[in-house]
Amino acid sequence: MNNFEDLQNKWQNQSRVSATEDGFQSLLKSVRSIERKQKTGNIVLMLTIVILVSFLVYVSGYKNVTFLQGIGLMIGSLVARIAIELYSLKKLRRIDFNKNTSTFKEDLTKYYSLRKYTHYLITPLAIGVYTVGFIILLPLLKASLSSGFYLYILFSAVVFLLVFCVFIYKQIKIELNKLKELDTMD
Amino acid sequence: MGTKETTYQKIYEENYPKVMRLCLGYTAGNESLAKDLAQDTFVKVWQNLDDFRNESGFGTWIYRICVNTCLAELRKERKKNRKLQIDGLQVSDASENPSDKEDMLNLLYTCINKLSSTNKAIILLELEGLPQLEISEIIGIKHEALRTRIHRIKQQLTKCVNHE
Repeated sequence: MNNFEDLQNKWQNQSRVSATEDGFQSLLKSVRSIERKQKTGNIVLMLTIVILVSFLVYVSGYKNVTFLQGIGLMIGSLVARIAIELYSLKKLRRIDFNKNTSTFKEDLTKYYSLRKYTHYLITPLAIGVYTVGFIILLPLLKASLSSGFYLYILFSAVVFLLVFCVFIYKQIKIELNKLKELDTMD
Repeated sequence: MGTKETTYQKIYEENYPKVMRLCLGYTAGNESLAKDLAQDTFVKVWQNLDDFRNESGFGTWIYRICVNTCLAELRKERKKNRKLQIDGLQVSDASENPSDKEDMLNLLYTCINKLSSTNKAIILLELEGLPQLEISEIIGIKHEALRTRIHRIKQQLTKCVNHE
């Protein structure tokens, strides 16, 4: 028969929990690497936006309205989606781990509830607009490219879209599960 | 090493055992998962170190970060944890009267893992011997309500460990 004090005593005298110099060095390495990755990630995303916008500005010199509409819709939807993701990531990083657990849980629930709008509204809209833009471009691509290359572009675009949709579906499922569990937590 | 790093190392050395115990409690004794969570906790400690205002003491502050980290991260590992629970139960079922310390710890992990997330956090902090006022600060519920809750969870836990 164990009473709570016995359990507490066993709990506090656990082995395998002591700090080591190696452990600290590996922690320090991981802290530095996270800081570097965050900086690199932000730079890569900003560069992507800059390149896409520059490309849009560059092709705006073309007088073909259909081409501009198609490419504009594709790039516009991508830029909008990336910008929303960056904003969202910034919000997630701002969630304060210093707060008490109840408040922290509320903040986390609010964040994932807001993400539902992105998942159910913004993302399908962005994918739809991107696809419409691509469909608008198809006749132009067919006219100006060899049939082999045209088929390659068509096929790879469909594969890309499918892979992208599966990836997004998985991400949405993870986040909705998190929200469900937060809601059921007492 | 700079001043921040020296302070950080001191914090790490002083607090690692309690952070690790708490993470082990959250992961039903899974050492590698617990190490990852402990590392995440200390990464957040580093990121927030400059903003720390010593209002509640380092210990309470670190516990708060640790509990929140475990709450936020563990949902990713739900499936793994379920398997662990089953493994843990197998270990405990194998010995009817666990006299060995490791067996007892495994049984304790299994029993803790049966609790809800918040109750798990409360009892882990209680097992650490933290004053109830500090626990109520960390969890964010009133002291009176916490006292009743702790009493109930303690009963649940001892019953489970003693196979009652």
